[in-house]
Amino acid sequence: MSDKELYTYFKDRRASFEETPGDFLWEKIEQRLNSPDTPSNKSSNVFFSGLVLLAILAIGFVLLSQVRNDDDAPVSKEKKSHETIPYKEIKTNNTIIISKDTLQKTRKEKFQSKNPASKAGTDKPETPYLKFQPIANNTDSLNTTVVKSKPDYKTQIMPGRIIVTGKGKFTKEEFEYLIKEITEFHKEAYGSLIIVKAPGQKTFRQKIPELSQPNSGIKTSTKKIVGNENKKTNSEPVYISFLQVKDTATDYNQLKLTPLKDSIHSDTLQIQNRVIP
Amino acid sequence: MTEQEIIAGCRDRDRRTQHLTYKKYGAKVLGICKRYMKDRERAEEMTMNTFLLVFQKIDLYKDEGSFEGWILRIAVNCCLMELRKKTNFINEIDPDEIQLPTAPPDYLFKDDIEKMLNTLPEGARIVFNLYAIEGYRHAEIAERLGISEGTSKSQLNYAKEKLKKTFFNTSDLKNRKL
Repeated sequence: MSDKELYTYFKDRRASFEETPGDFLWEKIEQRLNSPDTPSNKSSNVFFSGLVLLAILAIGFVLLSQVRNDDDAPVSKEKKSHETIPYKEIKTNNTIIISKDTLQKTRKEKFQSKNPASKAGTDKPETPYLKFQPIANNTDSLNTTVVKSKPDYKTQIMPGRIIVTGKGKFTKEEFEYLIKEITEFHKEAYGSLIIVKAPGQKTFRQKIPELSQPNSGIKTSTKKIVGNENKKTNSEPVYISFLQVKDTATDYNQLKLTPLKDSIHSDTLQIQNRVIP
Repeated sequence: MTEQEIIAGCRDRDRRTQHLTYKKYGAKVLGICKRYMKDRERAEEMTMNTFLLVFQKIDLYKDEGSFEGWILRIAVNCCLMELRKKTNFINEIDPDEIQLPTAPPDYLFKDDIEKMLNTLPEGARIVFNLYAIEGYRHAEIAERLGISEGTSKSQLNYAKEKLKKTFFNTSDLKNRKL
């Protein structure tokens, strides 16, 4: 028998395998179709459950958005209230700015009036003026007054002399202006020697002339001032001299204020009246 | 009821139509399952699985070929998926069994191909069913069963020789016809 005949033999008789299945088998199939575990039911269940979940999410999202809108409502109103009055705020700000500017301008104007070299039209740098404003006065342990200004220069006031030391580099113009300002500032320190120093600049020295009044009699008197006597410290009394001006003018240049001892260390000062022949 | 009406009814998940489908195509499906599965209980189980798949995957039927052919292919696939897990195709063949003629049982096998095929080992029977009766090629059989083409050919060769020698030996054949 050939292979082909064998195959044909079985093909022709395959119908003998066929057999109508019983109803019990259909019942089993029906049970499986009706159960929720079947894939068709599962897929539909998944679909409907997904729809329900989406609906819940949508409702939650809507509620959240409403809650947020309620929270934002007063803020928006406030914003609106601000927005209705913007021009006032702007105005106030502008006025402040303007006032500041006017202050600055007046300062500038003063500076310009005092210093004709720095008037408008010139290209010179601004403002050595603003540097020369003393901030605080301190007295050191040596009983000298130290005027601390802005870090550009330092002033030491001692009896008979005023020493101004500039810090940092000064241009020629700045040094000249410093000299001018210092001499103007201390113009009433009659008889004092003004010394102005700055690195890179020649030291400036000028004595302010003593005040002269014709035919004025000068009497001196010394008073002993017992101020704060401290027995413990055994401090010596301080003598202060007073000038009493009378009718007669006196050539004050003839008067010389000379300390008996070194002025720094001495506690006593006496004015000697000298008459120059 | 026409085929199109059955298809439409199944797609609508109509239980009556599904029952009609079961009655119309159930016999052929069971026959296929009996050829592949050795015992009846397993054949009925595969029949149930086949119809469940048909009703669940009815939307996958795209009107390409006959509806009957689509159902029968599902039946074959169900059986093969089940058999693939348990059948060892490589070690089943015993060459000595082919050489020696086996003695037929005492009852007549006339035209009882079911019993004739049941004499074959499971692997050989499956390959013989697929090749000789279903008409699959060795490449397709190898792919479906997860075996090589060589294994498929050897299994078929064994089945042919065994059937020929057992049932179609001329001298024996004369005796069986009685």
